[in-house]
Order: sequence, then structure tokens, then C-alpha cells
Amino acid sequence: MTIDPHATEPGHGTPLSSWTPAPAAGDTPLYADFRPPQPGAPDRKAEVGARPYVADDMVIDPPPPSRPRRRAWALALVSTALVAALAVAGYLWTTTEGYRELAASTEEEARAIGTELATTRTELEGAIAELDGVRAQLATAQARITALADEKAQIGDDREAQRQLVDYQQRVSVAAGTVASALDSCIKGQGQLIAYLKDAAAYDPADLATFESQVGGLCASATDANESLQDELSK
Amino acid sequence: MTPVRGGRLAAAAVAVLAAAGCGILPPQPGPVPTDLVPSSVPGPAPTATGNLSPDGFDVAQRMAVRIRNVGCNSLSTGSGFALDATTLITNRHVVADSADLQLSTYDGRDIAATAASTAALADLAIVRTVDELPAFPELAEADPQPGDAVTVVGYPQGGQLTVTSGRVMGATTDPLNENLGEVLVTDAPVEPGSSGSAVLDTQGRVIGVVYAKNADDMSFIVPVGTLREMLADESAFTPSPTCSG
Repeated sequence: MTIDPHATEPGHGTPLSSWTPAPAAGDTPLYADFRPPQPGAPDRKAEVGARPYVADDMVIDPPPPSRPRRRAWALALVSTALVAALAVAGYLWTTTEGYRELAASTEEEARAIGTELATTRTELEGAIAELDGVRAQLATAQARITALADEKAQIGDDREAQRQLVDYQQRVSVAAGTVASALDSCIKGQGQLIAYLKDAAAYDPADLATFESQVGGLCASATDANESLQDELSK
Repeated sequence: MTPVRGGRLAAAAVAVLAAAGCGILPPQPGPVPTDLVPSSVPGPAPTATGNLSPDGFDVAQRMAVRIRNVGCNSLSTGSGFALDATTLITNRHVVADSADLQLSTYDGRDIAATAASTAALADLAIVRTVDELPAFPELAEADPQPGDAVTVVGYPQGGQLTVTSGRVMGATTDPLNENLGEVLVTDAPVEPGSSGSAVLDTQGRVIGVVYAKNADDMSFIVPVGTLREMLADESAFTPSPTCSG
């Protein structure tokens, strides 16, 4: 504790009421952290946050815990973290094993499918090649069917043409036969008529006229038959 | 802060960390999948016969019919196509003056004809059959337009079944004066014997009937519109006269 010797002197305006005690060397302060507030100094209350304080500008730190309890808490915390790490490691190990087995099984399945795919592709290529061959055979068969159908149609046309030709020839033959027969009758009749006329006095003129008329009819029939034949020939 | 409160906070922190850690840990793998190959995959579903006909011939060929007109003193051939199972369409002049009509299919089978009817206002005729025809097409709803692709299926020169193609060049009046209204002109090659051939569009529908050609190798076609009009009028077709009376 110091006393300003000039405090009572004129010109020294510090009243006694603002007297501030200064710590003496070797004195133990009542509160270690007590500081008078200085203008512009940082706010100690903001620094200490919610630490308890006795009064404005007076911060009190809690007394340090005892060493054994702090160690026990640290040990518990480390133990808990260790157990958690071991649990996570175990979980990750089992998960990894599971995925490894899954990958192996999936790969095995994929290889089986790949083998099946390769087999199917080979079979497909064979089927496509076979299909091409079948298509070529089908085209050949279709062309052959069309050709055979045409051959059959042509044969049918020829058959009908031959049938019509045979019919024609039959008609011509019949007409020619009719002509020949009629001509023969005509010629015979005319020969007979000539013989009758050579000895006309021996016959009744009326009978000769009738016979001549009949011979004329036979010859007219021959003429008609010949015209029919010519008609057939002209077809 | 007392040691007890600090320990509780530490324990709580460990618990929170453990819980958060469990969230980021990978899950355990599931069982090995056994259904890696799907039972069905998207794609065209196969049909019983696919796009193939029973013998590989397409409908255009299977519906074609070869017509042999056996007259009293004549023999001619033409083409036709099935309209339904027992009816076929051809030209009037193909079946005219016949004593017997003999039909055969694309594969050479003979089909017996029962009666023929001809239209007076168009070079068209209908022939009824006893046996069923192999296939028959669909008639188009409208006549084709100039530039449309056409396919002709018939028996040119009475020979093999032939498929030719061309394009519609336009419409004109009938140069033979056998058809009422306009007829179509195409550059699809046809020959005598092709008369009565079906003219198909790109979808296989009938768009007309071949009935003539000219020296410039242009073919004339009775349009499907005229065919539809004739078919809709029951009185349009009358029994075809035969050479035997």
C-alpha cells in the first residue's frame, strides 16, 4: 500500500477518494485474476464466456478436478473409442468378406452366362447360315414350283390346242367323206342317166325326167358337202 | 465444468459419432442374385408364321390366277386375281366367247370355274369358282395418284407368273372405248396375256386391273374406283355369253 505524498499538495488534483492501492512486492493478492479494467482493453467477460464471476470485471476459474477422476474419464473415453473402432473394423471386415463372396459368385454366374452367350452366339451364327441356305433352297423351290406350274399350263394349252385340232380334223374328215360320198352318188347317178338317155325310146319320158331330177339332187348334195368342206378348211 | 458433465458430453459425442458413422458405413451385401437373365426382353414378339406364307410365296403371287379361255374354235389366255375365296376379277375380253374357262393358281393347281359375268360399262368380269382360291388381297380405298409406285402380277404371254413394277403416269380417256370414265396409264410393262392382272400399290392393295397396252409400252388400267362402282351395282354384271350359245 502506497500513499501519494503529493496528494494534499495544491495542483495535484487526485482526491483521496480515488486512491488505488498498489500491490506490494511479495504480497499475495486476494484474487489472482483481479485486474482493474483498462480503457481499450478486451472485454474479459467475452473471453471467459459463461465462466462464473463474482462481480463485474471479476472472473473466477473453477478449481481443477482431482487427477484420479480425470484419468478415469479419459480411460473410459479411450476405451469406448477403442471398442467403437473395433466394432467398426469388425463390421467392415464382415462387409468386405460379404462383398468379396458376392463378387466371386457374381463373377462365376457372369462367366456361366458368358459361356452360355458364346454358345448361343455360335448356335445363332449356325442357325443364320442354315437359314440362308434354307432361304436359297426356298427360292429355288419357288422358282421350280413356278416353272412347273407354267409347264403344266403350257401342257394344258397344248392339250386344248391339240384337242381343237383333232376336232377340226374330224370335222374336215367328216365333211370330206360326205363330199366324196355325195360325189360318188352324183357320178353314179349321172352315169346311169347317160345310159338311160342312150336308149331313151325304151323308157317313159316322165320316168327319165324324174330320174334326172333325182340325179340332180345327188349332185347338189355333193356341191353342198363340198362347200361345207371348204368352209371347214377355211377356218 | 465438472468432470461428470464433461464425461457425459464426451459419451454423447461418441454416441453421435457412432450413429453418424453407421450412416456412412456400407451396407451388408445382399444374397447372390439368381435371376440375372431376364425371362423376357423387349422386342418384336414372334408370331406363329412370321411374315411367311405357308409356302414362301407372298400374297401378291398367291392371289394371281391364270385363265385359259377355250373357245369353240379359239384358245387364249389371260390373268385374274382373287377378290374373295371363290370369286376372281379379270377382264371382259379375257372370258368373252368361251366354251370353257380353265383356271390355275400360282402353284399349278387347277380351279374349276362355275360361271362368268361381265360388265357392260367396263372391261371387267367376275368368275365364280368351285374351289377356294389360295389368297385374296384388299381393295384400295381410292385411285392412285400420278407418280405412285405400282406392281403388276400376272401371266404375260400366258407364261410364268411375273411381277413387274412401274409408276402411275396419269389418267386418260379409254383409247378402246370399253370403259366408262377415265382409265389410268402406267409405265409398268405388260404383255398380251397380262389382261386381268392385279395392279397393287406399295401396301399390296389392289388399285386397278390391267386391260390394255399401247405401242409405247404404256399399260392401261381400270382404276379401283370403277371396279368398286361395278361391284356395288349388282346389275352391272350379267352372265357372259358363250360361243356355244
